[in-house]
Amino acid sequence: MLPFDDILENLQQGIILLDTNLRILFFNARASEILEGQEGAIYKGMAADALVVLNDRCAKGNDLVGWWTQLLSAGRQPSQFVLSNGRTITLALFESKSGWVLTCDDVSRLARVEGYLAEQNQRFDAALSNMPHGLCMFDGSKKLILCNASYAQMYDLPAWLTQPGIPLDDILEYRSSVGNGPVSKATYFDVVIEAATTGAAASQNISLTDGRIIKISHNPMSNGGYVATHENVTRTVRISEELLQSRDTLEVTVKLRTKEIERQAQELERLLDQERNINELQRQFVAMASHEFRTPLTIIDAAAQRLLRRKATMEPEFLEEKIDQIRSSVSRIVDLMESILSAGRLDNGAVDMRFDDCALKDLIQGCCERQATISKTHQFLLDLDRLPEFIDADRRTLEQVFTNLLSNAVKYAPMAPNVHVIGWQELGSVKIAIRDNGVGIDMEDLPQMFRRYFRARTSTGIAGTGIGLNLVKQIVELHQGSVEVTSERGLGSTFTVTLPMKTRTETPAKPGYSDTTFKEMVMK
Amino acid sequence: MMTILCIDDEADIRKLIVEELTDAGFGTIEASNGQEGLEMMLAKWPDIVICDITMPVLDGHQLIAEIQVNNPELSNIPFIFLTALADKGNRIEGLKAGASDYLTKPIDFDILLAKVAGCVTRIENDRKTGRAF
Repeated sequence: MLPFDDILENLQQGIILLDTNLRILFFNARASEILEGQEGAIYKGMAADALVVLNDRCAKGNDLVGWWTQLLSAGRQPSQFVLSNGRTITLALFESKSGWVLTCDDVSRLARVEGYLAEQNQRFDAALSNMPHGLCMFDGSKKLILCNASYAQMYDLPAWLTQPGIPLDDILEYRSSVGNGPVSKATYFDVVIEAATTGAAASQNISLTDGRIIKISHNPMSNGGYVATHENVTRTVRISEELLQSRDTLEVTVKLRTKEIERQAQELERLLDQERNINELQRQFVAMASHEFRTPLTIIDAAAQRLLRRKATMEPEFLEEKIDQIRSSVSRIVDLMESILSAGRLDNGAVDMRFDDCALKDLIQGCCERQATISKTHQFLLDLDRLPEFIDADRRTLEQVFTNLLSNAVKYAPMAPNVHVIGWQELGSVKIAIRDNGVGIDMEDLPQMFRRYFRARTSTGIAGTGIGLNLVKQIVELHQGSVEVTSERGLGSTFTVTLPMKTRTETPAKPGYSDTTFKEMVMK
Repeated sequence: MMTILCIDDEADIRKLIVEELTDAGFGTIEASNGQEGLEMMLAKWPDIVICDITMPVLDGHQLIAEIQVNNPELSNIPFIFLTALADKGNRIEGLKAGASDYLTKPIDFDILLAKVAGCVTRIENDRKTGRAF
């Protein structure tokens, strides 16, 4: 055996030597194995085209016969075939000095790896092109390595700009020209720089000139390039902005509501205080009212008992005195009842006001005379000549006003007998001042003097219900007038009533008819 | 003859009480408020005091307090409240302050005279036994 025969036998490649007539001169064991010829299927001196017998071993579609024919006629590059047993082989024919060399290799493993790679590549392509985000990869000199379809679509890039090797600047320039470039190129690159310096992924929202907001995440690669994903976050950002705005609005609303609730709580607290206050005032009123009724009742009862004791020996003067006492007590009770009822009527808006020409001077004089018969200790000094003859007023309620003020002037000045009643005209109004030199009122109590049931500190020991002045104020106000008080503790008080100076002939419209009458009309 | 001081700001009531007491054979003096009443007590030393509560200047409660605190020598004089304040609170306050009795208006003169008679008996007994002035 020739020494190179030994070499040939141990080659990993199958070798078949052919003579110029294409008859097999030599073949090594590897060739026999690869072609899987049966024992003796390949033999020396065999015509090479008999190898086509092996054709039936070839998988369908691998035209070994065609290849062989063409090979012989024109020469041919090595070709790959899949045999029916699944093995992949390559065949190549070389011309040699003494004929031909046919080589055969088993490339089944390589073919499997290639197939696997091709499949992986396909998957990768599918993944890239189907991902919703744009993806691009640039090398260290900012030249495109690859990008996916979403990237191209996102920026409306033509095909030539998606080819490898395209500089990023060209892409950005193109994008600026079609109106979807970044608003600020500087910020656009900030994130690239950040990713590069930190060596970690960095992401940033970039505003585009077309209004979109793109979240770009840069991942640096070890070769100096980077992979970036581009995600359209316009809606997300808008929604989060809206959310933030609604949150702010909500916060403001909540703050406002909270304030409102606090205010209402305070208001409630105030009303509750007021209610407690009113309850306390009402309690005092009930106590005082009971006292006020008891006093005249006591006089009536005592006078009756006196009449009984003296019935046998009674003189006419005695009888007359007792009757006077009884009658004036009865009128005190009636007045008291009247003022309580009036207060109630005013509260209900059910007061019956009849406006008419009212002789004010006569009215006041009458009140003073009546008061004088009750209060024999006091004298009334009148100065009423400057008053007009008539004013438009409700006589009955106005009498209540002056009766109240005059009886107060007596009651709260037990040691000062002079009560001054002065009337005058001023700026289209009528003014009547009633002045006493009595106990007076503390400065702090003055603003409260016209509150229902309120009684000044200086009134201690002096009976009263606290409704009189409140009644006065309400009646005067129904006349579109006002009442004021000036006072000093220990020096007496002056109550001044101001009424509009109108007569019926001058003013067909009825003053004071406003609210009350409306309510009355509704009630009727 | 016993002298009774009648303190009331209502002239009519005062007059009726005084009349009744006079008819019953007592001497009477009058005051129209607590301050006048105190002055009258110090000046005339009445045997019995009948006093209203609701009065200007110095009311009944203030008067009896004034007697107890600043004029204890007057506190032996029987002191009867006669008032329109019929509630329990005022009654308790008055009795606690040292009033001998607390009568409410309207007045039943028979009751008033009975109370006064009781006081008179006690005063006379005290005088007999030397327990009082």
